[in-house]
Amino acid sequence: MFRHGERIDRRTVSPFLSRVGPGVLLLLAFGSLWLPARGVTPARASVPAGLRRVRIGLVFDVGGRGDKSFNDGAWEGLERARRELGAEVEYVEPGDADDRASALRLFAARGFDRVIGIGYIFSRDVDEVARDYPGVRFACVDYATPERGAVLPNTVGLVFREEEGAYLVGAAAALEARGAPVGFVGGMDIPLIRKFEAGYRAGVAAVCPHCRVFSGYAGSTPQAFKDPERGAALATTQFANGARVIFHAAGSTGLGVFSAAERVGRMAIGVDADQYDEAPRVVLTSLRKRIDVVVFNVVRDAAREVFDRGDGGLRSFGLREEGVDWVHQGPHARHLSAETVARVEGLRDAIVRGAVRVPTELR
Amino acid sequence: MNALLAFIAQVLTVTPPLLFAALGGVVSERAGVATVALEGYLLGGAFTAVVLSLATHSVALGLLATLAAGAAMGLVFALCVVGLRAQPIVAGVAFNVLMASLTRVLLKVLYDSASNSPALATVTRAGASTGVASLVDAMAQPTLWLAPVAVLGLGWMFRDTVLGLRITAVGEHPRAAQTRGVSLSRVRTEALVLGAMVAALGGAALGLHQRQFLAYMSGGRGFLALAAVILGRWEPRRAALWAVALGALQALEASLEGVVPVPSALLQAMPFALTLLVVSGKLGRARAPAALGSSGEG
Repeated sequence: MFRHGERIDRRTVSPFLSRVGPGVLLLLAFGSLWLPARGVTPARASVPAGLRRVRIGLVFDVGGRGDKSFNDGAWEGLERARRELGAEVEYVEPGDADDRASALRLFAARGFDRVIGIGYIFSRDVDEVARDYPGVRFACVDYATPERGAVLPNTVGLVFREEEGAYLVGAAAALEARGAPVGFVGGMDIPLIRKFEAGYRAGVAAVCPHCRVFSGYAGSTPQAFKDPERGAALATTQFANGARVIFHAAGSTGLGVFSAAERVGRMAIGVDADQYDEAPRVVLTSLRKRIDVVVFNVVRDAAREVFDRGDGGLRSFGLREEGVDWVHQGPHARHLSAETVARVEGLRDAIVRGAVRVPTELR
Repeated sequence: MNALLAFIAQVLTVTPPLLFAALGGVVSERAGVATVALEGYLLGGAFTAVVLSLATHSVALGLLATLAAGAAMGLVFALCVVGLRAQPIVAGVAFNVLMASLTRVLLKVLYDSASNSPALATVTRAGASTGVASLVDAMAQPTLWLAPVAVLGLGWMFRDTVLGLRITAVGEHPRAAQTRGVSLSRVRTEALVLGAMVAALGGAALGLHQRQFLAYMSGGRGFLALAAVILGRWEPRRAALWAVALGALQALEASLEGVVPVPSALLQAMPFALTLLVVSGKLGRARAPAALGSSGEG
């Protein structure tokens, strides 16, 4: 039996190469997964008196560095800790879901002083790795408590009362829309993001009880946080249906909301960080989650050899703690009218005083 | 009216990536090589288009570079499956992983972030109504106008050119083609290179409309395009029509989301459900090139 491919083709490839070819390709491919994402900051800043030099490992969320939002906030806090506290920091931008736990494990195994996971999606990964490394201390931003059992003693979850900030930007959106509909674009359809929507809707209703609120979610997987094309599609629909202002809580998917707003000349509201610079013509304001402050404080605690686990392993940051805020001052608030700012600041005082309670769930 | 115009605009922006990827898939698969690598082509194309447009401030140069990158990707894939006789599906999966990682490595090297590139400037078309503005924006995509050219051009190629007929022959009956003195490896390499160039344009459409490259931004569109290839029975015009149909379904889903109270997961599953139905033979029959899925020698 002859194989005619070999007879007629001029080149005959060795069977060894043909078997090894795809293997080599696979190996290169998987090997390179680790290459890009590790970052080590080389320069050593000096450590202030009375503090200890600490080693910090941080693992970013989906979206990664350069999302101009959630992750970049964490990055800012980390950078500040390196400059001001002389901390040695390393970080990983995980590629896919499976890399998260191994990235945490990488830092834990090397005995870092704090291992920080950024994003709710790390909650179970942190639990798993923290159980295996009881001597290492972990912090997780946007941590979701386990369904059963308490938070592990070497773990602290850092959570925000986003609904309070969303309430303020909801009121601002409705005031600026002057009775026209407003919109909300969420990333992944999960309780954390629905909390933003609940606060936003309550804020709209507080100043304009009959205003219509459109709402759309980009998807039901973490990919929904990094799909600007879909963000733009959802936003375009809402604008076409009459929305004047759209608030997004969708990571880099929200960049599509901004580009849609730019295309049609309407307004959008940023999230997590002050996103004015992303689209100066259309960003009305931003709900800021001070992830930078929270991450910096975690590192500072470590340098002071304190481990503040708050209330049973959860520390919560809202308007009162200034963990959540909205952009209403300076050049980045230039699109806001003075009346809007005054009215919304009044609502903020009411929440801080405890006179208004913002819902965390959609009715 | 506004909503309708916005819907049309969305079909026009969602479709091109699917359409070019599907056409690229048709060309490669007609030669008898299963092409799971479409996802990787999209990523490579999007990356090249955005990076070169950022660097040269010229979308035209970005598109030319995309074609070159497509050719390079096609050559690499051909080296594996034609030169080294790797199993095409395994090599295709490996190729997708390679491109997902390679684009991240290069992002990190160029912009110090393994996830996002800087953004290209956005053009504002305020003044007109939202529907008109988004439609004008969709029409301004250079890749949109390349799409009919590609569909008609490839149709002509398969019907009337030596290369097109050879590609079909090699995919349908490799042994017969060989006895006529047609070199399997040469024709397959040519088909893979051409297919990758066309598919890379889909990536350019995606990246340029997004004004930015993001890691993994292809997000499964390559696989959806593969569905269009199968639904379109490996014919350029039919595959293109299916790409438009799948694009319209996605746009419809985005238009209903949040306006009509239907669970979003249900809407998002529509294109995939449709594909399943057709592939399972419930809606029409698909017949693949005979040599597809075999190891190549026929």
